[in-house]
Amino acid sequence: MAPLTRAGLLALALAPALASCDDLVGFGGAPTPLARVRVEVTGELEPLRPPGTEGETPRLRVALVWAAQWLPEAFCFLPAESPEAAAVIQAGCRDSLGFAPERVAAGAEVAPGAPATIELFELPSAEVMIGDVTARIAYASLLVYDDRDGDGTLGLYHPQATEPDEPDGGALLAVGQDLIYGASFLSMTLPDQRLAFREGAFNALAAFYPRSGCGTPPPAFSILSAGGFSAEDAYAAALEGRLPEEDPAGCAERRLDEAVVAIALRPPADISEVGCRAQRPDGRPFYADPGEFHPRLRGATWACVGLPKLGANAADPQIQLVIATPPSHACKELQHYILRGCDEDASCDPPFYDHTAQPPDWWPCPVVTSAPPAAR
Amino acid sequence: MPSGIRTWGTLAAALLVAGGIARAQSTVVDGGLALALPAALPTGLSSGVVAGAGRDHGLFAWGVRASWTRAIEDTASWRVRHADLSLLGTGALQAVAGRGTFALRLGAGGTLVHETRRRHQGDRAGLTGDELQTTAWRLLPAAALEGAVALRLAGPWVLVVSGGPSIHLLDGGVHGGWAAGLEIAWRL
Repeated sequence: MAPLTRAGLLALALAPALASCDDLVGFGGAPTPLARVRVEVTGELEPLRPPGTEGETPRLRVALVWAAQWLPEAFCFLPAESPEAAAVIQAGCRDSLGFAPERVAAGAEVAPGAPATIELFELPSAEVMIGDVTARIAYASLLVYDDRDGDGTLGLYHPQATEPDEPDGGALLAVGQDLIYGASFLSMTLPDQRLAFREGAFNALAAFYPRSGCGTPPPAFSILSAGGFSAEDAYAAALEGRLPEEDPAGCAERRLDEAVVAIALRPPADISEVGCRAQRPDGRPFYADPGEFHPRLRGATWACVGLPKLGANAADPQIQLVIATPPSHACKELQHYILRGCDEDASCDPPFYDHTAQPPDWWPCPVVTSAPPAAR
Repeated sequence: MPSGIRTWGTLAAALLVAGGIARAQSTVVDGGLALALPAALPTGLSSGVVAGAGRDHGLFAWGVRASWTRAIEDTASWRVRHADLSLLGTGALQAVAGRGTFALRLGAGGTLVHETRRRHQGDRAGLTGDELQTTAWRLLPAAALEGAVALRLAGPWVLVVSGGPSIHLLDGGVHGGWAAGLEIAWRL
């Protein structure tokens, strides 16, 4: 009985005395960032501001944008069959080796010449992690932009079709549209610095923004650098069934606390494409029904071309109308029209629509009345 | 006076009148399962074990009770674990009714809280050190008022169910809570 009494009294006596140790935080307190990316912007903004924005006060920010997996459509990388087709490719096809954004994850205010830090509080989500659960990776570009709409985040651009009553609906300087002035990762044909998040093993054979010849990205977050390769090397490597090689001298893999991502300011018209979502990331064109849609051809860049001789289209003799978006648009995009076919398959059998017997009055291309072999 | 305390007091007094006085001069040890509101969290369920020892003196009893419970709760950014080690000295007013004993028990002492906060997704992101996980210790003055019902099962073995309000002094304020137990006691 005596020991119990002493223990109880001791506990009671010590309780108030020991009542102050560490501070308990519980559910409170600010969350720890999962990653901090240091950024430095170089160059002067004022000389680069496009006409029409002089009266605005720029709100320069940097955004962390995870990359999309996308494929260019065949018309854009196959040899052009005519000068008109080459002009449409030039005007309407985005860089086949360029960065395409999927999701804006975080941002921070930034000023030229001053360091800034982006704090990331969420890991990249599944749709930007490419690979399986044992080996997957996400890449991000850091985009410097003028937050013209003041919402604190980068509004990605969406390619828009040219409509007769809205000739400039997709123009770069559309009201309130954020303007992009720089990107750490613009294209695989240029030197880049990208944020990587790797989980599991690294698949060196994956063609997701490849940097073959460089070192393996470390696990979790890192800053990767690559010198870029030419488009010719990339196409030659694709024909040989391999990945284009980077020059190891231009490669680097650094931890976040070792790297500062330098971003040079550039004219928005030169790089706006990096903010454009890939409209059809699987590379399959959408074939519009000319009986339902009437595109504006006056002043547009267009061409009548055969279907790409690939897959199911290889034996289809019909001619398609391809129209490029106007040069004033932020995003390059193509519109395809065929007289007979389906939305995503020009050689479908039976076709959703067939205007070969009576084409629309405005149809500018030769009419091929014979059906593809599959449709006969 | 809070209505809960008033109710327990009335019940105990009624039992004393109706059921007589508990047996005199016996020692009781008990152990079992404990549930409680975490001592330093605003919500959650803390579960664990409790043990106690006491001495009956007829109408009155005194003793010590120790419990260890743990709560794991999640916020959008953190997984928070609180382990509460509580030691209370107790005094009780009790009465016997048939095979049962009813008691109103007041305890005072301290609760040692060990807090672990781990950042969600921190392992995947490669965080280390304090960015990944923080720990803290704190001893909080505590008090509890419990009603207990003991039912003699066989021989010296007794089933005890207890529960009631509790308080902890935290950051200059009073953190109210509750505690409950289901125990097996052995009366020497």
